[in-house]
Amino acid sequence: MSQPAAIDRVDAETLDVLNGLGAAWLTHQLYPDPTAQPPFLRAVDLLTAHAGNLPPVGVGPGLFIVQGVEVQPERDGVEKLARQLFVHDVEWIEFVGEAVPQGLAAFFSVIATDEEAVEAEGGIAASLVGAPSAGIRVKQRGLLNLVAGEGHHLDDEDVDASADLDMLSPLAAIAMHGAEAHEIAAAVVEDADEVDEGRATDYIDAFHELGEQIDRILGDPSGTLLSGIRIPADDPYRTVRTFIESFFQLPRWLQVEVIERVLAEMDRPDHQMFLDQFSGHDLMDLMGDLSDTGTERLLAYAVEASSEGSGHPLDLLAGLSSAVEVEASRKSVADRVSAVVSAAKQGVVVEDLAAIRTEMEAAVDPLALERIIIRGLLECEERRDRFQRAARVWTGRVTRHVRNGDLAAAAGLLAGVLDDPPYPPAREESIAKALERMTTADLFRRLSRHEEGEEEHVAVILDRIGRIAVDQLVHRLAEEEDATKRRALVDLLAVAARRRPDELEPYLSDPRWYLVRNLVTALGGTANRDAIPGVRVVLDHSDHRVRMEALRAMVKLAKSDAAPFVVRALGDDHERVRTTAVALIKGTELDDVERLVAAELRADRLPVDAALAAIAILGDRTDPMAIAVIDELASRRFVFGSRRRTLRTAARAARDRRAP
Amino acid sequence: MSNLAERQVAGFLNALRRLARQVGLYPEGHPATEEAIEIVAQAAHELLGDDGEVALTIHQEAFFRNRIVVPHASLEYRGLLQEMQIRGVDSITMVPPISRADLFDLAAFVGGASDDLPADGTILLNEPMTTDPELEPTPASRLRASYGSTLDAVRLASSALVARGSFELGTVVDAVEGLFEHALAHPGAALLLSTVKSHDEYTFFHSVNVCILSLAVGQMVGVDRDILVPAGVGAVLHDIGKVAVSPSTLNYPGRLSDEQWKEITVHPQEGALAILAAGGPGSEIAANVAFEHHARFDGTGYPGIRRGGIPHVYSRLVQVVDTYDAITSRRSYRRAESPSRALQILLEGAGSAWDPDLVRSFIRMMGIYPPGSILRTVDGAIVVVVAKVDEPGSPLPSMIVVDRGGAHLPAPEPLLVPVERIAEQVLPEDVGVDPAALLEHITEDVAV
Repeated sequence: MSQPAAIDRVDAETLDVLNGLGAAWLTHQLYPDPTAQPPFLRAVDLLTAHAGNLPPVGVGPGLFIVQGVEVQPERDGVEKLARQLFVHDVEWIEFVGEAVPQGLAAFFSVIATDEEAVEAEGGIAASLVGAPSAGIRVKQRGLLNLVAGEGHHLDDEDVDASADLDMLSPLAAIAMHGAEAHEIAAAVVEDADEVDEGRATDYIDAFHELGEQIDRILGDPSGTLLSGIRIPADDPYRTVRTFIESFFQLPRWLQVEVIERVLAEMDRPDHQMFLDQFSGHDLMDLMGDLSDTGTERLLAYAVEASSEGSGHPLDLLAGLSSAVEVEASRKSVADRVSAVVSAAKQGVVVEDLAAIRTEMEAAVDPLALERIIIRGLLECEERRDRFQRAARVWTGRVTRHVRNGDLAAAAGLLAGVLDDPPYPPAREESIAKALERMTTADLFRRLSRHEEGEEEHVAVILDRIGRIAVDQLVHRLAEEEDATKRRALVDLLAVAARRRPDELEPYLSDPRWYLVRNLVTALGGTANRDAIPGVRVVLDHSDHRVRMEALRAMVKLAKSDAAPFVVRALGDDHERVRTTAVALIKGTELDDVERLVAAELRADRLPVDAALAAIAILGDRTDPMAIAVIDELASRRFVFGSRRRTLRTAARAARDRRAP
Repeated sequence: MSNLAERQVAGFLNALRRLARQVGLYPEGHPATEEAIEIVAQAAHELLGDDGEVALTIHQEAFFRNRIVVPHASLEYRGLLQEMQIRGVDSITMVPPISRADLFDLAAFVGGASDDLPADGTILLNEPMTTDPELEPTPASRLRASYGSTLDAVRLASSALVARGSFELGTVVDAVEGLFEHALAHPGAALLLSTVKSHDEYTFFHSVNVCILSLAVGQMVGVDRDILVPAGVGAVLHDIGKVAVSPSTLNYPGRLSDEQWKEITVHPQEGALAILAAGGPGSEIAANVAFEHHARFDGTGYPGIRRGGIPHVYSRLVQVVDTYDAITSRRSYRRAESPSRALQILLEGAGSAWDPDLVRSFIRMMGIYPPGSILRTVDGAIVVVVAKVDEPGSPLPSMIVVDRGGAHLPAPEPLLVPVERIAEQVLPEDVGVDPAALLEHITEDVAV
């Protein structure tokens, strides 16, 4: 076998043993008596030498897995051995005890056998019961895990188990050893030429023994395998069913006798199980031959069985209630069927068909159906992992709609669940996780490319995703280098934060001015006055670019009420902020703006550029207060310094423009 | 094809399949291989009987024995048939006495372990084929092929769901469309085919049968194909969620414990989840059928959720059909009931468990003795009903398969059985008769 570079001593020894086993396997295939061949004996020596010192070895298709590393076999025999073990669903093997040549040969003979046959025997280990030791423990998927060929090493408990099994009645024993139904039936009636009530007792006793043994075996499977009992791992009750099936191959007199006895002790769960196997057809067939007491008991059983609403997957025994009055019921049902069929012939049922046809042909709204099923799944799923799966299927369907460009369907499916949650509050976390998984860059990309008229659907989607969408969008906004894509993200963010703009506030303290600026733009885009407190905070941001954007956002949000903030910005330290404020005053209807600007001019608090702009603005206004302020500034006689002279000159120019 | 002949072919194919697996692993002379050869030799011997030679031919996705189709075995051994087609095997002609070496070579060739053809001259592969009119595609063969394809699609979907946790819906939709085309062209034959049962692969066969019967009801009601196909997809996938239930619970013979019952009741939601995850056109309808197929008409059933109304009409349809097919099948926890008994149970539950209109429609379609019913006549003969009658009390178009002396007929013969000549309805397993084996006779011998 090729050895990975990092292989250590243990792995090297494991590979030695595997190589030895591969060679032995080939020898076993080629020689009538492999136990005399040197490669075979060498493998036995290796197994014995390393018993208990090596880790388990995983089995793959044509390869082994040592310490979690797949090792591709270089030797043909090793690959074939791995393949063969894989065929038998061996998950891993372990070298656990001293081996003898005959034991290894027995082991190889078993794995050389058809896998179905080995499985029918109860697995590899079960097939090796009583054989000498191969020193190999095998773990088959779905089967039990024993040391191959250690049948001669039974411990005390195993001996007890074996002893128990040895005490089985002959009938139970043949059933436990895998006899078919007809073989069991044959064993029951063997040598019985005439009615013999003892046969029914034997049969029922054997059935009781079977049930007890299988229950015991399910509790402690190892004893079973060591005792050579074959219980199919995937269907442990097949033995019981086969035994019950044998009932139908018994002579009639014996069937009746058995049923009478089963019915006499109907409190026993195993007797109920026995009868539960019967169809109503079978029971009605038998009823004619039962004693009066037996008939009474059978009808009582029928009533009880049919009243068990949740006792059985299909509750099919409901139909047995007709057994209370079998003949009358038969006639009644036959009459009803005939009536239905006759009515159909006369056209009476056509109305029924028309109603059904109308219902079937009614247009199915797949989206409504989808919503109903998903709501149902989220309502009924009690298992945590499956609830998560259901939530992921839900968000997966939403994503699929988005990808298909059907934003209305996506929005409907999201809102259809979240607006009236069918799940308990304890499941909110799973829902949030599913939404988080769904919220990807691709989703945002597709949402940002929405068609005209789909804004509302986008809004619903982002709104329902809520804080998760905000978090994700902020994160992506910070990393996006393409200006066009950033604009798209800002637009989405504005939509996402529309209902809860306060969710953006925690990010406004981010040290990256450019991110904060974009967030302020988004706040302005929410068109929700709840965003004003957040914008107000950043009106004093250290970066003028943020302050400019905050000013614009404030005007968008507060509209005419924004005047105090804008006028205040006329006194900002940065020229561009002042310019922005001037532009906003010029271009926006702001309440009381003339008075506020006038107050600033009178107080002489504004930088020259802003004061000149303010004079120009007021000069264009016809408002009395604006006129009064301009006149006041223009009329100053004594001014000191170039600043004041400049302002007076500007005011006089404004007054002169107005004069004509 | 008589039932005896069908069983012989099935026995040979079963043995050949086992040997083909065996020779891929062990050389000739190995004890395990020798044992498998012995079994296949015995099966070949029984297959040959008194015939001078027997030809097994593959055509139209079916096995033919001496140019007579073997319908049930063709479905049951579909995997082997497909392997043989891949290897280019069109026919196997066996000339007694069959040599063991030829049997080994045949199995090795079929299984892909060797390219050597049988050399002793007792088994001939692809002997000159004559285009026999009998082997031209027939409605029955097309129907059988589409049944097989649907079976493959359900198997594939289930195994993919187990292995990967998901499956492709498109394959299933294609299969159902094919089934629709062929099944509904010959509804009588389709109903007979729906009697095919397999205990080992109960769920797969049951799913396809439910699909056929649902489509048939829809067709009788007069609904268009485009509407029915999604419903058919739902019908064929209604039990796919059972892959999430452990075999030990599914196969448990007695009354279920609370824990086992809980495990069983998750299969509708598991199925719906898987179908929704698969997506694709029609997935919503199919998922809804899977989700609701145990929600009863009266609001009880499972899964227990607040419902706005009664289950959807497709779900109600599948409930009726599902119950019928389940009752008439041998289950791990109950023996099969007769078709008429199943109809009786449906009638008793109409209005509570099931939609009464749909139950009536279903019974109207099936009749009291639906195709596939096995009847014992008053003189002791066994007949299989092969078509339904519209007029109550009309003689039943049937095929006699066992004569009054109890002998299985080598070639079933058509017979119109007056209702008053019926003694009782019997079960397939009780008389060793497989109704689906008569599939080919429906379109040939009996006017449907």
